[in-house]
Amino acid sequence: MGSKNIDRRTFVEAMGALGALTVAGATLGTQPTAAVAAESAFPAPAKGKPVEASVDPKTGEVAVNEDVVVRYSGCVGCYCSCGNRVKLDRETGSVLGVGGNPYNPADAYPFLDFEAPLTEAYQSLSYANGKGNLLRGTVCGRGNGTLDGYTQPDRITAPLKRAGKRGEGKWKAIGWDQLIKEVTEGGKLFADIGEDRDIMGFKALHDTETPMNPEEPSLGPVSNQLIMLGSRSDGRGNFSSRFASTFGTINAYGHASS
Amino acid sequence: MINFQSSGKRTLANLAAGKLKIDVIDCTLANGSVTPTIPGINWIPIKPATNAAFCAALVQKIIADKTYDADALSFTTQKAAVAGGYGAYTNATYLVIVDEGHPNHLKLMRAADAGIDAPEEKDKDGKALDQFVVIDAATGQPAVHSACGKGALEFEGEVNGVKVRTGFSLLKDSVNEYTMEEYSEITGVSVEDLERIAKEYTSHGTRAGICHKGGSAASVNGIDTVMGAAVLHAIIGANQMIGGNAPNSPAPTTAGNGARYKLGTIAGKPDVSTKNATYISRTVKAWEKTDEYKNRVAAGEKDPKPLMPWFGNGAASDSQALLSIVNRYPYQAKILTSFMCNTLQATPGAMRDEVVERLCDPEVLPLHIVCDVFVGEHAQYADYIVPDVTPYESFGLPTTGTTFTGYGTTVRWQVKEPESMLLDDGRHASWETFLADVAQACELPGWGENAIKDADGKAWPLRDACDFYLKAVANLAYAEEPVADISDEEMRVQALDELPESFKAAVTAEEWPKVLNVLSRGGRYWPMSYVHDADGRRSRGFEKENQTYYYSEKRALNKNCYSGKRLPGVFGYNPETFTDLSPMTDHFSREEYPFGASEHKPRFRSISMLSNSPVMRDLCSHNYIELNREDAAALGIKDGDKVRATTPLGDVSEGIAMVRAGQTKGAFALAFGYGHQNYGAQDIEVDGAVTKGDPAVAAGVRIHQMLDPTVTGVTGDDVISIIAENDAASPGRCGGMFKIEKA
Amino acid sequence: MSEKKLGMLIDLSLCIGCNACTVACKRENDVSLGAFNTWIESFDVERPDGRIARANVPKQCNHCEDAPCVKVCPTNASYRADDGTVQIDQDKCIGCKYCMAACPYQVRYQLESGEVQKCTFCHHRTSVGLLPACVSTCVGYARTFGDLNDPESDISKRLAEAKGGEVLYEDLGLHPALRYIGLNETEAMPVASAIHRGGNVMRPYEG
Repeated sequence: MGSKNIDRRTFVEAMGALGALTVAGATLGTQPTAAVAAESAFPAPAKGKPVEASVDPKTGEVAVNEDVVVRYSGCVGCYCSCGNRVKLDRETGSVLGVGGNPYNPADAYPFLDFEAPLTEAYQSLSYANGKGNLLRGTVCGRGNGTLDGYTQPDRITAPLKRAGKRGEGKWKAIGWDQLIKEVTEGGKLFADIGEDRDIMGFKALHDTETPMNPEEPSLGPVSNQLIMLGSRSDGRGNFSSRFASTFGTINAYGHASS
Repeated sequence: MINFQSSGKRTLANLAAGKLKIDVIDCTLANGSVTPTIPGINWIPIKPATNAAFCAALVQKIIADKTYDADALSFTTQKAAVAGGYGAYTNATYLVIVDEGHPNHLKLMRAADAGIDAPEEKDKDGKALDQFVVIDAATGQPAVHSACGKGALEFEGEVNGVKVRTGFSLLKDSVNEYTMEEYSEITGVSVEDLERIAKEYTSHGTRAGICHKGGSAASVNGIDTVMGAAVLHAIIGANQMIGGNAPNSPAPTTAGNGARYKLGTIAGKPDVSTKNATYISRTVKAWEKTDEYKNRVAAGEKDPKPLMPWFGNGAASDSQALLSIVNRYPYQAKILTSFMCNTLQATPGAMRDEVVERLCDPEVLPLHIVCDVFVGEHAQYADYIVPDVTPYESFGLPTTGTTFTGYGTTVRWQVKEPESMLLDDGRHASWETFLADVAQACELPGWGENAIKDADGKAWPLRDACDFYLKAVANLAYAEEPVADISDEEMRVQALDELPESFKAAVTAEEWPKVLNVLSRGGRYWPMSYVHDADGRRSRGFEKENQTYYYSEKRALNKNCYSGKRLPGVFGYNPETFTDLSPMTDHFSREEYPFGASEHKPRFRSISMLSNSPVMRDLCSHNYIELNREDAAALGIKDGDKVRATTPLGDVSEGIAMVRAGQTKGAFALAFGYGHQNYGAQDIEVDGAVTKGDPAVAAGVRIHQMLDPTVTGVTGDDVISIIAENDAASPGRCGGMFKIEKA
Repeated sequence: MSEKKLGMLIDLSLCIGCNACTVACKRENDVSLGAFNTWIESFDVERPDGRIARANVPKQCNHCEDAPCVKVCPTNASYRADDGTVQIDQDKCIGCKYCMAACPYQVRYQLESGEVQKCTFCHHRTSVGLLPACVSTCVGYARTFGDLNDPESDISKRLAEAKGGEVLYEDLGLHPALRYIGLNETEAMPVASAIHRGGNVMRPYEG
């Protein structure tokens, strides 16, 4: 009965969110599923998610739940750049939950030494005497909620091309190769919806010699008319700035001043 | 960016132990450390856009009481400061040319101005170093700053026949422009509190600091807050001292030229830089340095004015870039890309019909490509949407916020297989995949085969995110001392032996077990003792040279592109102005528009994210217009009433009133991140199938700041320009002018 | 030594109202939208010195020793487990809602299916030695969890320093396993705003 109820609750929650939706035949943002053998030392709880491990409250002895993988990583719930802990179903690879990273000084203070074994990290999840109550890795409400935000069913998983006027909200799914070909080659990209305009693609714009405006050469070459926005203290800006500098634009902006 | 988790844990523990005292200067009492029963902390309400007045009041009191650390302020070089037991120095003793007729008026005096024949000194790149002039504290004679350890703090007189003053003496005048009572009136903070805090702050040696970030400077006069806090740190010699202020957070080189891979060096890169190109955000270059200015002057135009403001001292600004794009000035954007960001929604006052209309016009913006996981405000107006990966599926090596004074870096990595489209070659669709493919199609250097050199000169390919970021992780694993290899058992526990082959192929076989060790901990942080020495300073070479500008030559010389006005080189309180530096109150009546805005970070949303989370909406369905209870009573507004805040130009922010004691008088507060138009709030049609939008995503209100009436519709009929910081170019988020009434 | 008695201690001086606990609980236990196993009541107060502070009071099942919900349950669906916590056996629950009416802390709610739910102290976690989801992610380390019957446990040591802590509605004599530090002092201060449950208004401010 317990598992039946979980299924129903999950269903209701998903319906309450946005209703059923697929975008371009994409897979849905999966909700975690329990896949644990009945004879497991850690049977799936009737209520709640599978546990990471058991920890003896007196001795601190750790027995890891082999069905669950705990990995440590970074949070992008806001711009603070904390660490995080991601709990995964070993079989399906789906995310069961998130938490804090005891090795990261943003999440835990005091924090675990880099060389401390992972068993100490498991102990920080427990109430074993002198362990998790004194040193535990945490993430805030936003960090916990981020997982919910990113697992909504309206996630885009395939490239979309405008199928109506800009801003009209009409799209068609296209393949990856078509996406790359169209944006790099340019041309009359929206002729199918009656737009006759010839659009400059990346290849044509990648002119690092000709001034975009001969009257004002200090504005830079044609290639400087590529403008790139993005990066939320997420450490991904390096990739964008590498592209910008090799393409020949200085216009790569972090999402900081706004 | 402040890391609230880390600072929160430590401040709470130290407050509870009675080891710490804090005054929280904020327009709004947030949920935070000011709990009813914790000792040692007070909330001091302050009016928005007046933080500099608060700092100036403190400096005035500290100078009057002579409670500043004269030693710390007098050191003329880093070397002298370190020898004297401190971690940083200031230019408070450097002489400033105040002779109006002098060609170098407002500049710091150089050896040549003083007639001092000093031997030239060069930095490690062979660039000649500036030789500033001070009055040697030991001799009372002018000297080059590097030739004497200490300078005189106060000097006003002539050197070599040129009228000069020290930065410190100019600062003293600046902070004395208002009385303590006037500062109290401006800020809303009582004289008693101003004086108490000034006294407390100077009663703990170098173990005091000001934690100021984000919102404190997010107003049109925000730079004075930053300068004021810097002055206050240096006034007690607290920079780079434990318990004081950490002006820089050292981190090992990861995505640059690190221990194993040269990720920062790209052979054959085109020569495009700020030397021969201009930011579309009109920053880093002064108006009079532009070709447009020169051309117009050459054509006989006297004192030409630009269509939109230029910010010579401002850094690259995404907000200003967005406004430039819709105005097609100083040039047109041919292609706009963005990933996982929402500059449109986050720029106060920018998300309005006129702006959206132009973003929708291919004549204005020919090609717009957005990479995201949801159809947010940018994606809504895109031509193509590239599916991105989530933070659980992407790589990144961000450093923890500046409140962490230790050493290390967080690693975010692909802990689960991305759910974005699987490509034929085994990669998943993402921003990185998109860039790599476009780069290779355009045959850009530094992509595809032989893109990245390792420490031994061997070349590696770059086609996917892991090719780049796992090399950055290797740099981290080998920084300082290489980490140990991961044990077989730990590899198995985290299923690291099941990671994709492409990960393993991105580094050498020798590096791989060390890379895994770093991944298994989500980064690498050294123990605190690694960077701190026994007497409480940065050690082991982590103590970078740090100079605080008591006098900023750059700011003093920055001429406003419309009015030609300049702001002083020393910090002080400058009331809110529009772009031409005319006070807002010259244009509109403060009596009629008595309120400022004070935006704050939300707990249940994040910047522009999380309004699509049903759980977060369940916790808080919308934000509020937060009002002080006395202000509300005077306006006849009750808790829960629908109210509207209106600017003199008719911009309306409408929401539900939260009437409370925890909001400063004279300002209303908003948690940002609410008031979306898209992000799931709108209908989406894909291949003919319509998904209805959920209006709950759009609930709440975002700030509608007015456009700048000295630019919008003035310099050109259809120019749209936001109110912004005169130096930094950042948007005027807090402050402004509003009237509030029941809706 | 006596049997295990699991308890939770919340030091209100350290609760910053970030709601990490609330979100973690909802995700861990798949709590239905509109329902909460734990929540935080946040409001402005006037401190005795005249300054304003922000109070955050987390609430959830108190796991009372003399639990009225257990007493009134006609089918023994609500029961006290070996570790001292109050649990619900869903197979026995007939959805009569007696327990909901009996709980002075108003922590129980009924799902559309008829099932009654509440905080279990994350029984599935705490029964194997792990912290409940809310404690495990508490940013300010305001929440402490453990065995009240073990004098060496972290919670017992903290409670000893706090002279046993305080409980909600002490006069009812229910002996809750949820203890607070700073509760009475906080509640003595005049409220100066609406009371929010999370970020939603629970009780408007009358001024």
